[in-house]
Amino acid sequence: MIQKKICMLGSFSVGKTSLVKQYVESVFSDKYHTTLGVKVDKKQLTVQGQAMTLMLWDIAGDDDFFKVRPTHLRGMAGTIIVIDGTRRYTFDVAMSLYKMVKALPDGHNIPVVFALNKADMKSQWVLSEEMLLVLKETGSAVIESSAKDDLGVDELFSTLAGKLVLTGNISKGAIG
Amino acid sequence: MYSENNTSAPLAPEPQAHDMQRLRDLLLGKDYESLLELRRQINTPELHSEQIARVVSEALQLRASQDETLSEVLSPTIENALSRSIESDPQRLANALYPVMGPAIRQSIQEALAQTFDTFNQLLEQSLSPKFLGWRFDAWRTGRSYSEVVLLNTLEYQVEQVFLIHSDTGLLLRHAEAPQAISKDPDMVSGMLTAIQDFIADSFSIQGDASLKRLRLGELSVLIERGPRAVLAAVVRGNPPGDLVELLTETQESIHQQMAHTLVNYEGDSEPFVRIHHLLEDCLVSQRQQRVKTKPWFAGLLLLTLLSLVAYWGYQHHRAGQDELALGQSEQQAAAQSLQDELEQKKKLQQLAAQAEREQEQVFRERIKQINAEPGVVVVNTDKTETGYRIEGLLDPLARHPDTFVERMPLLTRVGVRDVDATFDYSFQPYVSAEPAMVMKRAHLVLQPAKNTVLNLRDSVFVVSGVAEQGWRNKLENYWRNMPGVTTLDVSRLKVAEPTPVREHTAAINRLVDTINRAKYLFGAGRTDVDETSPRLNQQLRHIKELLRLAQVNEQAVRIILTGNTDQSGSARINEQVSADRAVNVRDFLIGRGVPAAIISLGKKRGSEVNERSVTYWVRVY
Ligand SMILES: Nc1nc2c(ncn2[C@@H]2O[C@H](COP(=O)(O)OP(=O)(O)OP(=O)(O)O)[C@@H](O)[C@H]2O)c(=O)[nH]1
Ligand SMILES: [Mg+2]
Repeated sequence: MIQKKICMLGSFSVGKTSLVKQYVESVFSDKYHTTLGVKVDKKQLTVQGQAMTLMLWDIAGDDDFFKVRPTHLRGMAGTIIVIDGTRRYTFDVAMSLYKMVKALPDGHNIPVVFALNKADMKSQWVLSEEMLLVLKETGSAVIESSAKDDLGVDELFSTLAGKLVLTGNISKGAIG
Repeated sequence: MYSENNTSAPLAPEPQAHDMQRLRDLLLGKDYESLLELRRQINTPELHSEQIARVVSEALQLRASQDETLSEVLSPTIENALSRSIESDPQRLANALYPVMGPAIRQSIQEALAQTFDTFNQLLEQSLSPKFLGWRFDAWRTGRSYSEVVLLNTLEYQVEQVFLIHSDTGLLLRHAEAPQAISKDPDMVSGMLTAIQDFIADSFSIQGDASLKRLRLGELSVLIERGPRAVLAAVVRGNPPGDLVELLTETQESIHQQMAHTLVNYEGDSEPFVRIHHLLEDCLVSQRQQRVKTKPWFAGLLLLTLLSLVAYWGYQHHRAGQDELALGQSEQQAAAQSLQDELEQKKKLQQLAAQAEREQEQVFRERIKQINAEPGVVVVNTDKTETGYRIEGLLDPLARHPDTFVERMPLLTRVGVRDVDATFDYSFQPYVSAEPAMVMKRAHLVLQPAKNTVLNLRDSVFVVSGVAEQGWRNKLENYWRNMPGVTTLDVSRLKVAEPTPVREHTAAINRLVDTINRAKYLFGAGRTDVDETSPRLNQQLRHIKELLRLAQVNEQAVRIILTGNTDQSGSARINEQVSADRAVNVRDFLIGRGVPAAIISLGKKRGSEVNERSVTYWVRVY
């Protein structure tokens, strides 16, 4: 059994906690309880025949005085950066987070998946084609999701897990 | 009696004495000697003590086994002896007791505390504080005595769980728990523990190697022992003793020794750590309290020791407190409450901010919709700026610029709503729009249809109806094929009219006609002749000649009708004649000055109808 640390990143109220809750417990709540510090959850899954435990670090989104604690990102194997499609500013936060992750030591080996969350409210989305293009140009997966309607949630995590198996194999190959 | 004679007997050799001696010898034989010896021994204290010393222990033992009197008799003496010994040199007794003191004291402290608690039991019984009620509940639940539960809560400890956690990732390497311990998902606990340590290290900007060593929450403590690659954390119920930390340190060292390679290359596979599971299990120690009877004579000593121990413990505790995160229960509650309040506050603010942000976006989207609804404007991209928005797009040169019709909107800053409008910063590329409205606009601009020519666009059919001249019709034929989105021209309801020639002097001609019509030639009473030098008449002549010139340029014809009038004095017949003469005379003057006779005719009306002695003009150009 391989364990991996995954970080949920994104501006506040984008739905990080909701995505984790939907993924782990299959529940959704309309109520907003902001996360304080970190909440750790876990989920087991099988990727390409390999059993894996994801330790999901749901990190509080905070952007006025924006500072994710770098210590919280230490040792993470991959990250999901969440954007709230109805709030343009969350895109900007996502991009600065992306840069922050890539600037970590070994950051270029950390796979990133962008979640375009609140897809159930697509009529109110404010993301332009150009913004989507910017996301795609990073080479990361961009997945639309809704924690509310359970759309794309499994896909988010399994896509990332798939990338972990891949990078894991590569680094193992390099050592052996 | 014996004693009197004993000493003198050998010294009295009288016949009577001698006889007595013989008699004794006969009666008692040799035993007499022994008797004497015995008497001597009893009478001599040194010898007597020597004798008793041989049997005293056995004798006491014998007597003690028979009844209680011995201890009764002896105890005052012993007590006296002990107290005198302590008075003269207490250190001696203390030294003598030293080997048994440690364990005895520990047991006794517990017992003493238990006694104290018993004493206060009744007081506590009335206490309603939640803590005491909780303990009372525990006592009822577990069937223990109340004071025992209180004691349990103060003295006993048990290591319930041990976690080995990878430093960098916070992932759980190995976990051991005591059989009766209740543990939540250790993987998650492991992560949270790491997060908490990070949090504290970050929040209180702890310098250098210093790190969190102990967490306490109610009766649970977490002892944290950091190694270079892994963290060992022990969850302890009760008060962990100091040597537990040593045990953890040693365990940590062995683990790093045995698993050095695995720790360095850790990639998420915790399987190899099964090997050191026993090391973790060794840490699951516990200390349970025991009950012993108190020796009464220890009491005084105990009280003293207890006091000094309490003082020492207090000191130790104070020192331990310097690297432990422990808060009193009320402090914990207060801290938690204020944290909670702060959180609520923050949450509300964030919610408001998010809501306002959403609303602002919504309003902005309305504006963009409005712009896009306008023909000839297309928004391609928008951006948020410090002061508002940047809007990029395409703008047909014929279209209205959004600045002229987009409503303003208030600016929302990240700080709050300011009393300022958001700026719209436009950047447009010119383009030709295929929107029907723009297509029509352009058609009107290029084709310049006459008033009675109507243009229409029905889907891809360009419908032109009404009346148009041939020249315009040709222009239309050239134009419509280039109209974007138009495939067919429908002119079935368009009539083609003769072209009306272009008359550039029309305005001047009209003005002249007007002037000439308003001028008249006035006569004296009864006169019909024309004064050829009259400036008015000559001015009229110049106007007529100019009119003729312009009309010629315009290829137009001019007709002038002259009408003579009279006043109402005189007979009608004469007046008729006078008026006719007046008209003829003016005509002759004009002809004489070069106006073609063919364009001048005389009006049919005559006489005094207008009651004026004059000739009037009526000019037509066609
Ligand atoms: N309609 C809709 N609402 C969502 C969705 N995901 C989350 N929400 C709502 O958005 C709000 C915030 O969700 P959270 O999951 O708490 O957001 P978060 O990113 O964890 O926020 P922080 O912990 O403050 O950083 C809650 O009211 C959720 O109900 C979604 O997919 N659709
Ligand atoms: Mg959250």
